[in-house]
Amino acid sequence: MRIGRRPLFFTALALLSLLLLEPTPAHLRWVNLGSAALAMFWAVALFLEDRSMLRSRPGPGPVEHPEQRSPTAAAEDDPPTRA
Amino acid sequence: MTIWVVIIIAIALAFDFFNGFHDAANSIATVVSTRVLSPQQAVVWAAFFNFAAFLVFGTEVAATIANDVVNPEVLNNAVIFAGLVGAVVWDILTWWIGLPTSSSHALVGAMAGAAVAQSGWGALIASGLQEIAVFIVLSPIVGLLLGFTFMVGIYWFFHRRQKLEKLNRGFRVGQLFSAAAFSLAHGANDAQKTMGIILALLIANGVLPTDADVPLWVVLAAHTAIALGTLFGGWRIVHTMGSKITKLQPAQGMAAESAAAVTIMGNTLAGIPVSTTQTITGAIVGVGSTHRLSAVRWGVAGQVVWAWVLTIPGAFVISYVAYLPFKAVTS
Repeated sequence: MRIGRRPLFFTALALLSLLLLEPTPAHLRWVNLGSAALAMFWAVALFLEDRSMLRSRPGPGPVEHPEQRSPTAAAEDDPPTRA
Repeated sequence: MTIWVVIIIAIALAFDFFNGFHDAANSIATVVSTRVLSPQQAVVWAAFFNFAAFLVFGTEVAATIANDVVNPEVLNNAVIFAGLVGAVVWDILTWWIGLPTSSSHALVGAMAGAAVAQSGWGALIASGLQEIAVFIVLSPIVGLLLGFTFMVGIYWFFHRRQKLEKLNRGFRVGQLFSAAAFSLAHGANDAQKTMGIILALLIANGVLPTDADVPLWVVLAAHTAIALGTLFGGWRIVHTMGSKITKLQPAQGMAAESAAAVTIMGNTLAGIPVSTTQTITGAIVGVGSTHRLSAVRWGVAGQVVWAWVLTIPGAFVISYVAYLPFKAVTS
């Protein structure tokens, strides 16, 4: 199965956080571990979101209710404003 | 206190002023780019909270700069002077070309360069530099992850009920608070770097004992200098930070500033000098990533990364060269 760019990006962030574990002072390693855990959480969540969107893509199907939509999918609907 | 000490303190405060001037963009870029405040209102808002930070935070970062970068025994007036020259020159160069580099890392790199020019590589404290180097990478990652998380949280709690256009009106008010929190964090972490330099100078000259805390007049002077610097803000960099990395709405600006503020405050409490520039950049990228990765202009983000990479070596070389005349005189 094809993995989207965002899950890969967050997986890379998790790996980078873990790579920095060794040079990080012992009393601050919780920062690396917390970052890696959060990044992996988002990588998995985005992967699942991509997969569910791929599944729902073929066929017209029922129209999604706004409250059933994932937050990041909702984000894509918002038009960018002028900077 | 000799005239030399007074002159170097003045240069340190000028560096602090320029730090505020250079980094003003970080505090106000999102709040200006989302049109919540006018540029003039934004700099006054940010400067006030830069100054007020002394009421909230301690001086842990100052202690790190004074004791954990360069062996305090090699610090003398010439080393500190050359270090400040290196940091100021690097800041002016990067400001001139509009690159949002880190004044903090310029200072660390410059102090290291001057110390190495005087006493060789043994003058550096590896553990302290290692900690700072790790957080050069880690703090923007934390900012990015928190920015993404806060933004998804906002969508999760609010956007499912209302269109974001309506919500943005509410978030415009919220962004005032997030900008204030970020300015507070910026003032706390960045002003303490100057306090650290002045503390080291006063200890090196025997004005204070080696275990002294930062005197109140130094705290007030450093916060005043950075607040005044922010007040006169650097507009070249505002443009890069505020609009080129990704386009922001008020809700996104609030998420980015809040994420960066939390990250910097955490670092400040842990005594780690971090770059406000890097952290807010990471947070903006994180917020932009909630749309899709292509919403982030990676070319500009990459340019910023190059500026980060070059800062410590660049400031190191400038201050190394700045110290050479002193070395020639003393030898």
